[in-house]
Amino acid sequence: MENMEKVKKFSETVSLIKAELRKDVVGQNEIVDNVIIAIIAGGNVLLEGVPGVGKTRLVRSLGRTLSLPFSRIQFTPDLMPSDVTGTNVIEKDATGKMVSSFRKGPIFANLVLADEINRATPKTQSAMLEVMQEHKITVGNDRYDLEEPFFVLATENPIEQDGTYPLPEAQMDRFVFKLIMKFPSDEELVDIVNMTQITLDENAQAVVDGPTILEMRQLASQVPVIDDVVKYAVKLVSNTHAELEKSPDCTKKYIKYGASPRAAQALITCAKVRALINGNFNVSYEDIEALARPVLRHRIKINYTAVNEKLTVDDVIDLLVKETKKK
Amino acid sequence: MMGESFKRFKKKYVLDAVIKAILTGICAVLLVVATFLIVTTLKKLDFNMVYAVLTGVAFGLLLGLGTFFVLKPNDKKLAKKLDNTYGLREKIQTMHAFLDDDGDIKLLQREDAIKILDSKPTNMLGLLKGLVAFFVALVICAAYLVTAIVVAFKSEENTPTHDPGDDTQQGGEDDEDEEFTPTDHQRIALEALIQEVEKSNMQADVKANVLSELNVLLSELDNLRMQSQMKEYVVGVIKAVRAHVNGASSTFKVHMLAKDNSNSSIKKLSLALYSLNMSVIETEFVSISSGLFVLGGSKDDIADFNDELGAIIRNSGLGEEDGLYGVLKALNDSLTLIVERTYTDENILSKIDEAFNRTAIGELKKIIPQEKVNNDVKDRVVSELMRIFGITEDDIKEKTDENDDFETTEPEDRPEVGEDGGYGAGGNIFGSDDIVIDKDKEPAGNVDNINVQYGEVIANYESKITEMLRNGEISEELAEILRKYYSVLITPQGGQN
Repeated sequence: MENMEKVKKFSETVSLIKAELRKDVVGQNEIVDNVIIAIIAGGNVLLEGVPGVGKTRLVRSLGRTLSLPFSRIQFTPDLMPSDVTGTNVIEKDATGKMVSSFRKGPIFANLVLADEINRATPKTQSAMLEVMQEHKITVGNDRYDLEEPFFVLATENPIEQDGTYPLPEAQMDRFVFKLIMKFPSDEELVDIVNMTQITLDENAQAVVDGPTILEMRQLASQVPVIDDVVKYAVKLVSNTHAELEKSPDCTKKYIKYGASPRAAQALITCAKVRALINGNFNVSYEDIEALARPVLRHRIKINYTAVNEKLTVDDVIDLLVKETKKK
Repeated sequence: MMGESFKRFKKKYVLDAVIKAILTGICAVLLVVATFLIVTTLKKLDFNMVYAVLTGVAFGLLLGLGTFFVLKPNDKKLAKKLDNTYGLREKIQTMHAFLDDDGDIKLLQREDAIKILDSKPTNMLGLLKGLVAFFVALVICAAYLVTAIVVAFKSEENTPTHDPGDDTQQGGEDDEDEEFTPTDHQRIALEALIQEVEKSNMQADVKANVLSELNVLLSELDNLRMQSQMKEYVVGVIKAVRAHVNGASSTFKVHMLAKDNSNSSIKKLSLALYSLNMSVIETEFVSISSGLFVLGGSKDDIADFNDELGAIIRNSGLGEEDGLYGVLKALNDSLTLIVERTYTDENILSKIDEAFNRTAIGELKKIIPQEKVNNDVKDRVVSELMRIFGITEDDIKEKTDENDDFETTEPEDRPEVGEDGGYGAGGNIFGSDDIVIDKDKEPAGNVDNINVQYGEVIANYESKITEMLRNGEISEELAEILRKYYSVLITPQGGQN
């Protein structure tokens, strides 16, 4: 019965997080669900959307909901790596002696909002690589561990590309999901307008702490996955590689380069969380297919043929899923 | 561990596999037996159906067992089948895969899977739905067997009984399976035929070849065991005899080349030669020469005719030593002179008449009789062989294919000539465009009657010319020429020159 209690608590916690987020974020249900999955799975999320759709608000509300140290970094072209990670400064100690001490940057938090991450220079963006993958920071000769749980939720604007620096593939791969926030429907827009007439403050309350998140992650990792489903996820990822002989025709036709092995890891890890959130105790093919778009869309690059045929990355991923399922 | 529901489902699917295996086995038995029945009926093979049934049962057992082992589900396959059938999101497969793992979530997963499986029905209705295709296959196989049985019975009813007293071994295809034993009557008749050929005036080399064929047939008679074998052999001899005679026949060669010629006069010439009947040849030559002569404009027609004749001489394969070659070459040369030189109409008419009705006919009288003898002996040999061994024209046609040499066959339009001249049995009609000679009007073999008819032809021509003269349709100058021409042609004896 202890197991059942854990599962029950898991479901209740997810429901509470969703409920709190809905106080500040109107609509965007799929985005909210996937952000929660990524948080529990311990992955970083890249949110893409036009200005004003609520990217930053969502992340801020999440920070409030999780009751974790939260910091926000507004990425600009003049932002330096040390502005993110922190730096050694020379200062006087209590005795008046000059000493060198490390002053932590905003990255030392549990939840980091990297706002408009593509506006920083590649040098600054690269400073995030080690942090996002290893949850450690190296400054000078010293390495600092970040407190768990640690997540980076970055946002970027798909338009206004002047003065931006597209994220390198290596960094893109560090994001478990890339989520596209669509423009709200008319009904949702009415709710947003009405909500902001009352107050611009965020109302979400803290409902879950760091240790609970870690417990949930641990529970989700135990969800069983049969070999066939693992093979399906692996096949889906390997099918994104046009250079492989057995890749399907749509891959050879539309994909320039494919996803890394991290994509397969992300698919299985996140599918476990998704299964548990939906009340299932095992991972199914459906879980893998549901997560294929957010996991793969920033990891594969479509070629000119696809663009010419007016296909988006998501369209190509749908074709891939169909082809992989057929085989 | 896997739960009672899973066992229940397993029993159901094993039962399903057993039923499908049995149905497959029965289908196999029916198919094999029906196929044996059809094949033995159509090929008229003597085959004991007990063996067919035993073979079918053995085949059915093998196929049934094979089907059972292919369809019989193991736990893993059954789990996958249940997941797919009921849309259980891989719950049963996961339960099966982690049976030995009692981790926290795994236990919950197992309970969940068993609970959801318990809620699914395992009635026989679902089982029957999956079996519909197998039952349909069974019905089709049963229908196939019934058809085979009906075909076999019908075939048995239609098989005629053989009359053992018939020495000539008459019969069609149905006799082919029976044994063949040459009778004394057949042997004596064949020996008599050989003697008849030996005594004939056939051309020596052709005769030798024909005799060789017949002697080989006589010596091989005892080695022929079955009716079909005998028929095939005799038809082979008939074809060989025809090939020997036709191969040595100049008129045959010319006819084969000219029978489809676009020039109607050439066709007439070829057909007349092929008839091997001098009366017909003379009649047709008059018709051709008259047809070629046109007042004031004969040369074009003569030139066309002569060109075609030249082509036939070149392509027929006749040697210069061949009599017919000489006749046709002389005719060709004469017509060439007519075309090349400047003659009056009177001279043209005279030259044509000279070339066709005097020179050519005169030479042909030396050649045609020998070919006619050869042909008559060939016809005699073929008809006798057919009579002695009960061979029909259909048997010969059946065993003749398009790869056979054309000399082994008889062209359908070959006029059948009576033994002593004239038109015999057959459906051929000869004649010019104006006058038709119908074989139905004259009895076969009556040469005299044919001569009288020729006289009628000439008289008919003359009466027409006389009428035209009377009506002033012909100039005085030409009228004199025509009067001379017909006075030469028609003699007081009523024959022709």
